[in-house]
Amino acid sequence: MWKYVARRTALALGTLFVLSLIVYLLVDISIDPLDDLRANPAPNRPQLIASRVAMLELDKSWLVRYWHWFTSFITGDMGTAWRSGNTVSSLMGTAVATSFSLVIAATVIALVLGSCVGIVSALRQYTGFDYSITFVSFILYSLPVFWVAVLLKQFLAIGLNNFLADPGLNVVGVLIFAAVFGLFWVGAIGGSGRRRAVVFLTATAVTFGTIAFIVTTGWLDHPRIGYPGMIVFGLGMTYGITVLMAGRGNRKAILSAFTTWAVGIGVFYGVQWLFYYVNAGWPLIFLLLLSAIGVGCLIGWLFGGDDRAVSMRVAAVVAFLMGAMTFADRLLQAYPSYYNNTFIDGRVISTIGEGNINLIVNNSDFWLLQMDRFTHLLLPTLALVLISFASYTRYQRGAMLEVMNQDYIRTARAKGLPERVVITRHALRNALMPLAAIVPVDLVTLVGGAIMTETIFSWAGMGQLFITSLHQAEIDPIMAYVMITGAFTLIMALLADFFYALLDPRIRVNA
Amino acid sequence: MKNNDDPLAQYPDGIRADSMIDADMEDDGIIVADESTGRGDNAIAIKEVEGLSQGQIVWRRFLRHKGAMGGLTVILLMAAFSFSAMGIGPISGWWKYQDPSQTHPMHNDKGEPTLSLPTWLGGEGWEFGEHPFGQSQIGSDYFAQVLAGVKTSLTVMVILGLTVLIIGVLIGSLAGYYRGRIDLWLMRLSDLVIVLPTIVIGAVLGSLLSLAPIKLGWSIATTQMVRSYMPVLLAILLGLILWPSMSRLVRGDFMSLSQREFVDSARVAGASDWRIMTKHILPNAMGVIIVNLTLIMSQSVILETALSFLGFGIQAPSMSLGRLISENQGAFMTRPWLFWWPGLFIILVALSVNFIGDGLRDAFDPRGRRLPSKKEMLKATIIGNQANTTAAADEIVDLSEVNVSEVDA
Repeated sequence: MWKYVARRTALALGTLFVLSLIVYLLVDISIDPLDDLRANPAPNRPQLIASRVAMLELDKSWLVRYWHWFTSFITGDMGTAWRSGNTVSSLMGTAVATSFSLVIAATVIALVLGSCVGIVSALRQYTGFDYSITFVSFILYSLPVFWVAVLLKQFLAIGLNNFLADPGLNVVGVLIFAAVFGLFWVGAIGGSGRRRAVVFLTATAVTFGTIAFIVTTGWLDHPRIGYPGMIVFGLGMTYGITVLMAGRGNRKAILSAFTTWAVGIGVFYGVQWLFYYVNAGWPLIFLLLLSAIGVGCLIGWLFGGDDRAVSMRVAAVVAFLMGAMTFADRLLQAYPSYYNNTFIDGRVISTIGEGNINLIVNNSDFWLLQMDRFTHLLLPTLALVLISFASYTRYQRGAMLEVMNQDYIRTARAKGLPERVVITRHALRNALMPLAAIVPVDLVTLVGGAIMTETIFSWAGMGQLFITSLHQAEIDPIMAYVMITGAFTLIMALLADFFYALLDPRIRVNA
Repeated sequence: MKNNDDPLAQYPDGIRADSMIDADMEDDGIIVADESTGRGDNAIAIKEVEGLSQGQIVWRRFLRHKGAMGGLTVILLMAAFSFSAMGIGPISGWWKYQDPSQTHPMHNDKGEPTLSLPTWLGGEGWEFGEHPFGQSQIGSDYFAQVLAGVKTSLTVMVILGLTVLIIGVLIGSLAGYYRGRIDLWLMRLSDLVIVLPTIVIGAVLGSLLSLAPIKLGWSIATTQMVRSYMPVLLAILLGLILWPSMSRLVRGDFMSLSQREFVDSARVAGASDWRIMTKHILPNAMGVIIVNLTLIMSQSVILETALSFLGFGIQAPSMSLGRLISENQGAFMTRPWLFWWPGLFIILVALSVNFIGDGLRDAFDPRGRRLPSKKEMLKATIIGNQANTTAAADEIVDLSEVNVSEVDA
């Protein structure tokens, strides 16, 4: 095992070294640091050129320059962006964090949504639902990310801001939207004609009702989930999760799920006071979420029964989601003050940057700052999600179909297990396994895609740093970007193999 | 694909198709109610592929795929339209403004598109007008610019596809067939290329292409030539970084196929390595190659436009749809058509190629099969029932077929 890891690490280091050599040569040819001086009419042009040549060692062979870069790089000095004089480490420090917050948010959302839709699509193979999802994912797959990003920035952001400033109900539009939503659920749930009709009418009515409520009652001015939301949505969510994960027959699981829900409502009350007195921070939030999951597990364990693990799982998921809803509710409470903030002035959806500098400098309220981060993340994340959603859907659909054709699924059905158990316990787990190998590799694609979104939305991330440096003929930041991205990819590839071996007992790691 | 050495062709086609369908029935979870009477489904499929080679079956399945046919039609129409309008090489096209960068006085207030649809499509009567796609901020004819961009995108796509095809298949097949050291080097090399996102290397290469003539001090004539053949050169350079995924797939296919009996028998019969690779293995790997090629081609359209958008792709005088979007970015609120036309064409090209790829994948997939319509099923069941009551001898034939198909599987 350790031998294997050591061998892979050595290989990765070798790859990185060769990569740095090749990329340095390529970049060295493709940039021209003297570009602006060549056209410079100043009389001291020769001196300027000579001084720059001396500074960047342009008169020496590229190998010499590479060697200088390499020796300082391995001692931890990533060089300087010579035009501005900033050190690369200072530029990269924040840029890396910015880029990864963008990419990770997008990956998580696309992964969850894409996998769910892909799985349902596979279960409804050869139906209208399946064909529609396939068609939509093909369109999304063909969208260039820069086009989507410009579309979101130039058209959606402005429209959305105008809407938030003056919400009005477009009855026909919302009805059409609600009907499409209804059709989606009909396709996903399926069943007899009667059931389809009921599902369609319910889903359409609920969607329309919700949107109408949001728009007409002034909810948008003071958005909250609140007690009604926590009770109604919480109940629905608890019921859905229990049915999916444990089935209607498992009394212990149902009891533990609904107990967790009741506890969640109680905690919701308490947390309001907690956040009133304490200025929250991410460590506190994570601690609270973790303890919520712990309490869920405990409740499931206390109810016990033959199948303790099921009850514990169900209760833990319910607890986590109730916690997430509590967080969302508290975040939404910051909306009115964010909306009326002088630096925001009612234009909530932002198209530039990763945060409003003025607001960040002048405010210390955790929730206000998170709201700001959220509104800035919204559009770039949406652009990235739209693109990678399609590939996850296609991929997960294929994996699920593959698994559903296996012999052990037939065996499970033949021994009389209900279809729910066959799908969630036997098929789903195996169908999700390949994701362990896909996600790390896909993260790299997204880092590439983030170059476009960062450039368009002016996020000071790594991708934008790379693009500006390439335009400005600064080789050090480019090399830093290449090395960081390359190392990230290789680590991810190693992790992918590792997880896969961990999950799939058929795979043996041999050195 | 029409090849006698095709291992799939060594069985009579009917039987081969039969075994495929059998496997597929299980795949789809369709349970044939009664072995003796439920042959309706099979009967249709067998009849359809009677007397056809594997290549013909694939071709027929492809032709029947509605999405793929739609994609093929759209892309051929687009190619014919853009190349005939803007000309090929020195030959001029039929459109009156052959120079996309030439500026004109504003035809109407803001240079809005003069194209209007026929009345039955909700327009004000069919009209092409002076500037069908409108004019850009400085008054250039957008129709000429967009179609020149479409031409560039299609050229890049085809050249890049060819480059990847040649390099990827050559290296992949050599590595998969001979293994050993060449295989090891191939894997290391593709590791190197895969480590960075393609757009990063693409940006460096694109920048290299536009700067190399200045930096290396080439003559003006050479520089001019590099500029005017930019799409072709960029496509070849990008092809040089996109081949590893193709060669990895080809390598895998060649590895497993070279273990098969028909390769051994060919070798015993005295076939050379070259002949075994080209005549025996390659036709069987064709499905994987073609499907992967369409994927790479649709990616390449997006990649080229993205690079041009960032300013590292196609440079003037060549046009690119990505550059059109980036150049006119600031004017989209007042002149939205500047945004919609190039976007529409990028999506159309990529979408069409994706659909063609989907059709090819279905056509090559031996498990894939069209679901017969209800009418066909009903008809076949009736025929099957009649046949069943009359001839018991058919059953024996049936059994032998099943046996053969099991051996085959």
